[in-house]
Amino acid sequence: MGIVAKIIGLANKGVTGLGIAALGVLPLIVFYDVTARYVFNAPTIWATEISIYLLQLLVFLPMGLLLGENSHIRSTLLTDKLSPRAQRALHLLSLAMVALLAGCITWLGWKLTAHSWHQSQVSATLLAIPLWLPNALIPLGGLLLLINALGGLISPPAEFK
Amino acid sequence: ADSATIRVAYNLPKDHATGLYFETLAKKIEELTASTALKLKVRTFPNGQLYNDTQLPDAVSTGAVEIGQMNIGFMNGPGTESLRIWGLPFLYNSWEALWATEDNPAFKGAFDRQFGKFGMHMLGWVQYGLVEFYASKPIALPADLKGLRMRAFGVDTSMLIRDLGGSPVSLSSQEMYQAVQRGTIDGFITGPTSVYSRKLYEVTKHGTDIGINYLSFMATANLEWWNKLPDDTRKAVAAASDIAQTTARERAKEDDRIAKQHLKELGVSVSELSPEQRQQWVDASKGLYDAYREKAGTEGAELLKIVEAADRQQAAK
Amino acid sequence: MDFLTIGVLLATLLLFLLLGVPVGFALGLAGVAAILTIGPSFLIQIPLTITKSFSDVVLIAIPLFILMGEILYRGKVGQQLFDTANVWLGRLRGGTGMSAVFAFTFFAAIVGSSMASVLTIGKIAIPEMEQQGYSKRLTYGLTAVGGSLGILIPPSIPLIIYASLTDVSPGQVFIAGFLPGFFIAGLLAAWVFWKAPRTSKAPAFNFRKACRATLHSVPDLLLPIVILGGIYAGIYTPTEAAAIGVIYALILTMAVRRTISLRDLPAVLTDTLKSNAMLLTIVLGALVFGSALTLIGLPQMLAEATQAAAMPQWAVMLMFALIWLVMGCFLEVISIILITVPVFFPIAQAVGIDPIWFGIFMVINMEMSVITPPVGMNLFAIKSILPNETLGAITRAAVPSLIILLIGLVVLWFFPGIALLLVRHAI
Ligand code: NA
Ligand code: NA
Repeated sequence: MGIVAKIIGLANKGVTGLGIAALGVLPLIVFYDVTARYVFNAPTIWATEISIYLLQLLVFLPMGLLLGENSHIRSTLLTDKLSPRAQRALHLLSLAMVALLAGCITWLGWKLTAHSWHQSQVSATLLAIPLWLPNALIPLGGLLLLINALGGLISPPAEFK
Repeated sequence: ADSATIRVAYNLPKDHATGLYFETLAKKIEELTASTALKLKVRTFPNGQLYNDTQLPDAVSTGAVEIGQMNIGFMNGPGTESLRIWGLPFLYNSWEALWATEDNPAFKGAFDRQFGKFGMHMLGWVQYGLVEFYASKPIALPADLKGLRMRAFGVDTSMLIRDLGGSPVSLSSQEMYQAVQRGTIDGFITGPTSVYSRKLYEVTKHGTDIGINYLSFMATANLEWWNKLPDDTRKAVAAASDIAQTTARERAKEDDRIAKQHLKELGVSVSELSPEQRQQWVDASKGLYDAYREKAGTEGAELLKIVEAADRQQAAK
Repeated sequence: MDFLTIGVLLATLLLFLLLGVPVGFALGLAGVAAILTIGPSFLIQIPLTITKSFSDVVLIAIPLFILMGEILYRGKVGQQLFDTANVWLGRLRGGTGMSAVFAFTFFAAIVGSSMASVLTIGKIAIPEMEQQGYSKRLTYGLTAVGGSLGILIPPSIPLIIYASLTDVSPGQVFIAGFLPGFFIAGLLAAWVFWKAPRTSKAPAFNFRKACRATLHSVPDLLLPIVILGGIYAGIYTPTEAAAIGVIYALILTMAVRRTISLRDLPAVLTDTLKSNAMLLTIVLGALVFGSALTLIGLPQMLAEATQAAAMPQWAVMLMFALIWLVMGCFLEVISIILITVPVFFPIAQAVGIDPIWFGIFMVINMEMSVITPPVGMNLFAIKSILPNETLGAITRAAVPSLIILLIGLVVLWFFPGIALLLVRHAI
């Protein structure tokens, strides 16, 4: 069990690092594109496309991280009125539902990634990036969500114990 | 007889020529399959409601919808090389040359063969209409394009703009109006119908009349679904597509004529070119043809021959 | 597709929400359930929809605006703006409140969301107003509504999403948000003038001091000009303006004011990463749910029913406003927009509502939804800056301020020209 928590912790740390890097680079790329277009009259062929992949990374990967911290936006209207015991039960139930969805996202995202891999699809731009790469962010994000949900099921946060 | 509901998705509004194709297709499929082994009920999803240009190839080939609109501009990678003939500029000299080419069984067969590799069956051609340059500065000859920031969509228009000396800019369609108005970009490649319907004539006062593309999209069906259809149902669907194809062709040609006339009345000046001037455009895009021949090999060469024959025949008329 | 299916789906969604499943995932699960009513083979729609939606350039603005808001918040730019307004207005009756209204309005022209506004300006303005003896009703109400101006006055994330869903120009809906935003700010100022206590403990007004303070604030005051000016000068698109804003905010706080050091940056980025993912997870869930509803045919059915009923324009708008009001109690702004706009927009067009005005009408309704309990993001934001106050007390105090937005909505409803004036005579 300790090892599971360790793996999840490590994965989340990796996501945080990657996310910070992506977030730091994003404004620079967009700023560079504006400068290249307006000042040098030579817009880049890559800035928009790379920004979109960074956006996707920033959506898909940190979902699990937030679940692990229990900081996703949710309604506590009903749960606030319940006993700690009932709160704990509902928390576990809700994690199980998220795990179900995470499994779905991982499996379906994997199918789409495999599809773009088998067809050797590349993006329809001058950059022509292999599409399985950005598509793989979906199953990866799903997987991170899944392990955080399962981790929460195995060892729920202290406030519910 | 059995019955089933199928889904048809496309990217443009119902009242556009391409929308007319899909709505006619839906109506005719319901009519013509009524007495076949499998009676089909059709639900259409216009306007990219369900999927847009970028997702439709995956949506049809994975069976997320049964029939959809294919825009080759948003497909790329192995297997699409010969299909790229679709985006070559100045390919056809007239609507009739386009239609003769599309009706050639070898031409359509080549497309169907390639689509088969992506898990799709080619149903028919979906006429979009003409595609021209529109900009805030007059564009008459290739040299006028030098240094202009032009909005591109998909890989083919990007290559065209780059090869002719402009800078392709990617921009979402809803930012186009303001981007041209404020000079963020200088112009774009699109059809007269879209310049008219999106009120882009308010900000782009100059157009061309060179027929960069006589553009068609394709309608494809999920291959697995298609192969499972009873024979008579499959024939009925194919017949429905043929009817829809003809209807959309006539509408597209007429809509373009009306839109061009409206644009003229609204003060969009159009550069009318002599045959020699048009030849300058053709010469300037030679690099794209060379690249196509190199990548598409013998199959590409065959397709180009079919087009050339159709052009010659029309020129002789 | 029938009413029973839809009823079951909505009940499922509501149940998930009540059980405390995070909003984004509750929406996603309801979407999965909806697709399953057609067949499991259609589930592939989920990753397809996700990639399609997050390939829209326009959405890149969201993390960028959040990042800028975070930098400005940490860099205490809000304090600077409030203080500057206060040296001019502090002595007037309700001066502190008017300074807060000014700071909220000004900040609204910099950031794209309502929560960022509440957190940044509210944090400064609430203690100042309480010190002047303002009632809770006035203090919290003004903060809740003032913060909500962040989504009406451009730039605005909800308007960006609206534009991306409807193909309306983001630049044009942005322009349309100005005057309605100023109008509602004016209503707030009038409310403060009417209700603020008479006694004022502000220091005496000193013209030279006021000028000096203003001069000192020039770099902060330039922010909206940099962001919006660049858009209207055609240097960059509304999407790109967000990146320019980030760069400017960094220069302002790190080089000019030195309120943020290099060492603070990882924390700024981490917080942004989390707020962004929090918001976009809801967007993702809403997209899956919305596209699933499209697949089962709800939008089409609703559109047909409205057309068949031949409802007049006012009745259609009233129906939308009521649906938004109810949804607004339980859902977050972005998810409401993503679910309803694809359904409502074609209906609105069919009855001849101007698409730009419709966007503004929608956003004013959304301003109400961030204040209505139980799920009101501005209420949560106020709670997070006042840890010792209960959410119930905040809610009771803030909810009456909805009347301000309601007055604004009704006036604009009768005079949509207020929204369209600047668009028609484009600057
Ligand atoms: Na704003
Ligand atoms: Na609410």
